[in-house]
Amino acid sequence: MSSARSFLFECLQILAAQRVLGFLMLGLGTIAAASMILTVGEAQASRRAVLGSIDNTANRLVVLTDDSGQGGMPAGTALSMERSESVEWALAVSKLEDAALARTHAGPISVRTFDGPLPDSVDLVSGRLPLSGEAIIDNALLQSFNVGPWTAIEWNGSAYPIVGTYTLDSSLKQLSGIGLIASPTPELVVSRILVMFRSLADVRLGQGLVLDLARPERVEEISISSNLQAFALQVEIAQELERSRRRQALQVLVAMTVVTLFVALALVLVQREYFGLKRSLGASRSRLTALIVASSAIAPGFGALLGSIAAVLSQGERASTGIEPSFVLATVVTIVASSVLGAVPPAIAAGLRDPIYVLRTL
Amino acid sequence: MTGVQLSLTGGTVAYRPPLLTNLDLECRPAATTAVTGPSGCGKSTLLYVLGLFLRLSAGSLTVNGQDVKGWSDQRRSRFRATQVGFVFQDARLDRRRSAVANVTEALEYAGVPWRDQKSIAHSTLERLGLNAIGDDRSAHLSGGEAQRVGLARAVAKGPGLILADEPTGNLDERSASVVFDELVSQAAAGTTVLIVTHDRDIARECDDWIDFE
Repeated sequence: MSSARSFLFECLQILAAQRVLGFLMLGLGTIAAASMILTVGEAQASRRAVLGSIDNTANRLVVLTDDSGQGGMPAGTALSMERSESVEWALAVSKLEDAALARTHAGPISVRTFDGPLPDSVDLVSGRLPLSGEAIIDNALLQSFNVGPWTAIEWNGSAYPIVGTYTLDSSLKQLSGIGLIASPTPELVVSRILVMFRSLADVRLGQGLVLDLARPERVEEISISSNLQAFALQVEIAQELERSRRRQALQVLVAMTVVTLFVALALVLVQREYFGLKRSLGASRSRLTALIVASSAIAPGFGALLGSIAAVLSQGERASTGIEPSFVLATVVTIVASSVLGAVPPAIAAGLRDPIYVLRTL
Repeated sequence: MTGVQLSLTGGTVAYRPPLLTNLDLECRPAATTAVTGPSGCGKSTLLYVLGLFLRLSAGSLTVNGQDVKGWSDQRRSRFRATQVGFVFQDARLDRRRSAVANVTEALEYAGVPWRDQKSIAHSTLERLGLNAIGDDRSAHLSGGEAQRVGLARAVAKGPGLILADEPTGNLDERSASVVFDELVSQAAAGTTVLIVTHDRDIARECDDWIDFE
């Protein structure tokens, strides 16, 4: 009786003989898998989505805050700004005529590392941000220059038309025109971009943290202004994901193991006479142990498959962007493994049980 | 069928009280051996020793000249599966399964090919007058029918050794006769048959008789 088919057949016979326990284990596997996927899996998916968002944002920040000074912003990235769902951000973008420029721009737009404090608002001429070669400058600096609107400033031997100012005063939120003079200056474009990216970071990362880490206070604590911070946050969330995964997997493992242990114990007790009979027919201890373990794992394993499928289907559209197939597979494997683990002690006990005692007490 | 030659020398199984003490026994192929004695004297224990369920505390047991002392559980189980047919007093069938399924399970363990199992089971049941109840669940069988199914399970694989523990103890005269006749015919075909019984008439009809009195 060495074939796998015979072994499987015998396992199914054991299960069929105890349908109630079989269905109980099937149900347990189904519930465990579905709940794990619908809770942990979905949370993981959300976290991953935020991780992706941070990743995207961080990429942009990397470009802008590259300490080497060799950064650049791809046109594609500039375009993606327009797709932001932030109202505040959308308002700003709508005023950005240079977004159109970015759209048609083939290569990267040159930027330079911004090493000062981030501005809170931008005052713009005619409601637009500077084109390439135009300048916006610190409002206080404008005052110190004692120049008015429609004035150019000179910097590094070049004249830069001032098309707006930025300020660190958060009370200045309104866009206002102060003049328009044309002249190229990539450095000053940086200021505008940084403001915009800061908005993006505030909105997107803030929401992400609230949703994902379930620690709203972190929103206040974390403000990303450099690629290093973004990277650190990214690592932190990745670690949190991993910890969470392990914790939840461990919980399911322990719960299923304990439950299976008792169910397998019941299986052994109820069928001990038949196991004794099998011994008389030639089943070795190891075979009997393997039979009980496999019988105890088949039903929860099948249930885990059913539960996983049901959970993924119930997610509908979210499933396509959410649960990883590897997570579903890991769930099923975890449940089967815990069932095996739980069934081993009663199975070994059944294998070691004196068959004569069993046969005589039938 | 080639019968199994059993030789027990100084066989002792130590429980409290000892179940077997210093027992010498020879069981030869193609013969029926009756074991009689009062309850609790160790008759069934002897069967379990000879069926390699129990290990001796002292003494030795040889099977076809081989000492089984060092045999692993796997080897002992394999021996039981292929060479030993147990017949219990109250049949000990798997009541949840049909008569045929009870027989095919033994054939499965004996390594009989899947495709042959049902035909062998049916023919064995038919030989024992059970062709009409093959697909009935064992739980629905009468005592006599169940015992004959138990016997069919033991003999279907063509074992070299049949160990029968009070095989006719609960049966009416006719069923007892069918069962005993089958055991005798198995012996005639070369099988070693050991019968534990309280029925001294049956013991007298056996080729050898070991009395624990």
